[in-house]
Amino acid sequence: MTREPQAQGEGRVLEVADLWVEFATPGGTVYAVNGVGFDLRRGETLAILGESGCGKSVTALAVMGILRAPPARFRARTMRLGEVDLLRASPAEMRSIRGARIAMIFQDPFMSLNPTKTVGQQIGEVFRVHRGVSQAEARRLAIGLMERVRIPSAKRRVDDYPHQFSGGMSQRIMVASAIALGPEILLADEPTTALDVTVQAQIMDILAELRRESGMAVVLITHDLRLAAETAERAAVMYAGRIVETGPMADIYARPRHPYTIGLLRSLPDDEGQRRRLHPIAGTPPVLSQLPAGCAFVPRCQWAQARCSRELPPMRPVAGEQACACHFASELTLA
Amino acid sequence: MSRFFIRRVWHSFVVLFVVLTFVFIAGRMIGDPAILLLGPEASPADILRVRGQMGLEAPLWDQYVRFMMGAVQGDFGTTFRYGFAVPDVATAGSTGTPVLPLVLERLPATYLLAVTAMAIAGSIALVLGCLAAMYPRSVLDRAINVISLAGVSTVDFWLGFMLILLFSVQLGWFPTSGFGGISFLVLPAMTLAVRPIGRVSQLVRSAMLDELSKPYIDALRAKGFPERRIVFRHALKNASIPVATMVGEELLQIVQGAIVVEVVFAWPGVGSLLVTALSTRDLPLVEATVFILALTAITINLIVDLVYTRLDPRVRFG
Repeated sequence: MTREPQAQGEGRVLEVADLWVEFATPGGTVYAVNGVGFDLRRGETLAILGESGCGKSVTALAVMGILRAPPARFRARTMRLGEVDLLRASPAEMRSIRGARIAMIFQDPFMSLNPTKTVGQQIGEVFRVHRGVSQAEARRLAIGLMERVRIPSAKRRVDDYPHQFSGGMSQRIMVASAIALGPEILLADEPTTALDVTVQAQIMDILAELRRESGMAVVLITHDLRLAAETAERAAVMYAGRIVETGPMADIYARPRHPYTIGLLRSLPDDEGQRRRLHPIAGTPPVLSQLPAGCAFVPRCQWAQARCSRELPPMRPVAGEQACACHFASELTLA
Repeated sequence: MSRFFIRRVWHSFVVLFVVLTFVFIAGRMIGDPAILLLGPEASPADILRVRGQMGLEAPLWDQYVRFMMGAVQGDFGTTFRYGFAVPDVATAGSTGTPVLPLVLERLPATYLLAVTAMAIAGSIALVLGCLAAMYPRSVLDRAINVISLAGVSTVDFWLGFMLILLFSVQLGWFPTSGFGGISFLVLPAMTLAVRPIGRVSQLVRSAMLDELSKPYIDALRAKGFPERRIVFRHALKNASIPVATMVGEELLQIVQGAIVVEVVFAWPGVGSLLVTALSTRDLPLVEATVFILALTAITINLIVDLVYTRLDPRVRFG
């Protein structure tokens, strides 16, 4: 665990504060992200944890500036990439930043590639658009990147199409095109969820290696607490569009404070592979178009009190850098 | 050339064989060609003699073999009466102009008309479809929807007459009918283009919306590519895969539509020839025309398949 200076801007590559995203749908407004904020320090890995539909991917898309609007609407108090104010950047500035300073990889690598262009064209296109290099040069650079993400016989495979690659290889190609211009930040949205466990480990190894080499910061968006614990230095746990717990990954994993985080941890199978009954979190996440006034976790929380449904618990520090948005955070223990 | 394409060529030969067989059977089913040729008042002796000359007294399978052998060599017999004012009982069925050259002579005019109509329709439909897909549910999208619905609902020979009334008779911008420079081409090509504009623009719109909703579009946006590049170099290219199939179908529809529209505009193509052949009961000429139209259809389908393999690598390697 590295301790970075806390001064404003110092060591921080990304700052997001009070981000709100909503979607106008025929069934009413869906409040997907409700006042999310986080900082990303240079070279660190931040895990954004939560189940499907909790707003983690939407947060990433909002930071990239590629939410589909309409139907999406978003606002934030702060969104800074280093010295650049992303909220004031023009569309052209945003385009020059995306893919160059901040890159993103997605959950389904196969669906994230254009099926009718060769992988070489797709990786090389990043250089063609951002650097204006020639076709031949782009192809040469693409081969180099494919070698860097350890795609076997890259020279031969550069002119193959996505359907000729496996899922793991496709994700390597996505990684290759994401790191092409040496971004400061990589947003990895469930990068291994669609892949086998063994392939998952390979992709995470490649990401770790790239981080070591380039000092790139990673936002790992995942529902997989164990994957986050293995990879990330810090974590933010999201529930129903809010961050409910944040702090050093090791502290959260060792002593979760929010009932939701506690539930996530209890639902994991044993580390040692011993057979025991798993404890799923009872109930289902709330409908994001009808969020309650108080804490959104109340219907699923075994410790909920009357106060919880009335009052939205604010984020409060509990111990060290760990903070939690629960009225009873200091009283709860992992039973 | 891929194995896929060789297989498709082989299929085409099978289709052509089937079409020829149908042409043969239909030709024997519409009545005695000798009576068709000589008219209902002909004497039984004359009919018998002409049947003999036409080889109709031979067994059916023998006629079939001879018909197929002739077709393979491009010989569909000679015209019954095309070019003659009065049918000559003595020579009918034995001499006269071979029909295939007659059809081939008319072919370029029909192809010119069909390709022009398709080019007009394709380019307009592409622009309309893309605009509608880029601004879905906008006023523009709705207006384009109305245009395309009007297009698909149009009856082409009626539209042809209306265009003649407006642009030739009232405004005098284009000649009413006939064959000559580009001015003669405009109205019939526009007439034939209207329906494909409607059908193709609707498909372009839905195919583009489909492509633009796919995750790879988000991935391209995440790479900071300009929207223009994403829409035209990526989405449009992929959306053109289903569109290519429909353009092939529409081209066939245009060739079919040309049969009537050529008559409306007195366009000297295969279509008006076929109508003349039918109304004069000129069986060999009908057979040759149908054969050439079938060949055209098969060729268009082959070209579509070829375009497919260029557009979609998954077909190429499949």
